[in-house]
Amino acid sequence: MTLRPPPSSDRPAGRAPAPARLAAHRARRARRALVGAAAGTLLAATSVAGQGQGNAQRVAVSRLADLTFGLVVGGIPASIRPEDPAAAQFEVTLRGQPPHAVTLTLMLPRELTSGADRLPIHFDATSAAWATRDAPDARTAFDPARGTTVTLDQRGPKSILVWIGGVLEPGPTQPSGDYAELITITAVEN
Amino acid sequence: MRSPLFLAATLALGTLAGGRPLHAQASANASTTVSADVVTGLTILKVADVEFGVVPAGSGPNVLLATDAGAGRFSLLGQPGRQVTVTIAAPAALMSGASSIAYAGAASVNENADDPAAATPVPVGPSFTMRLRDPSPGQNRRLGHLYLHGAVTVAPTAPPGVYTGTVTVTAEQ
Repeated sequence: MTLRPPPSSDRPAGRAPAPARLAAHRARRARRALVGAAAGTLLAATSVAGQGQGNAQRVAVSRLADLTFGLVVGGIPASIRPEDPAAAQFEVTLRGQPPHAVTLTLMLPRELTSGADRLPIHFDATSAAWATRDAPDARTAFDPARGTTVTLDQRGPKSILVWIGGVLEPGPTQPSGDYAELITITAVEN
Repeated sequence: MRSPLFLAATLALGTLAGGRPLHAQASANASTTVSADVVTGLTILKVADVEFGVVPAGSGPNVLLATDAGAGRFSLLGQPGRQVTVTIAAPAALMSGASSIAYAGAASVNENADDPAAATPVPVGPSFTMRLRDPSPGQNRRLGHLYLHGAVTVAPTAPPGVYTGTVTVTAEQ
């Protein structure tokens, strides 16, 4: 289950930095795991609070969903495509006078961590996609490691959706555990 | 006093500035969490309990199929290609205090996909073997699927109540 938080840019200033939120995320997940074990029920990970900041509110980025692989078996690669419901999802909203050209860049992890353990993750040329809010099925794939630039015309929409998948490569002797890391997207209006 | 020409030039400049405001580059960012729970060895997950629902006294057998919504579900996770030995231990009766109703357990497995309609019957009680298949794309987190179902028979004299029992699934590789 993924809980959708309110738009990131609406959050008050002074929120916890990303590493602190990741630690809080792990603590919450550990508590949920204990509850799940007692009830005999497997609970999917829920999302955590997003982070966002805008320049005079002319461009805003909101996180709509996390990238959640769920259970992964050691030795078996696990892939999530952008069209998968488990993919991460962001919304980029542009305000002000069109036309707009916005450049999207991403900070991607090379591995997820669980204490001292590392779990490799990689992204390929079609691991990300974007579409306008009013035509979410007309997606354009892009390489999240290279980013992309989206141009919205005079009368077009001012909001785009961005999806991010990825591929996990757990080794045959991968230690079991709860692995996590952050992806950060930056939108710059040109 | 400004000349008419000067005023016209001033208005024109104002219109240009208003038509496309000059501004600094704007940016924003947000973060998302990537997460995964890695399991090793052989793991059995209970996905759903067996639920017969309301059954009337004096009825039976009330049959629950693998494809019914009330069927129980387990998932087996482990190294693909491994053969595992599975044992299902089910009670002969469901209990409500000192009262009981007869339960005839049944089970089926699907080694290839989470699809009870294509599952193969397996015994309840004696051990059987199944192989964990290589997962297809999008199904890399569930390698074997087991469905529990069966039938309950309720005597006419059975008192109303909630009757329960425990089914235990064990697997070894």
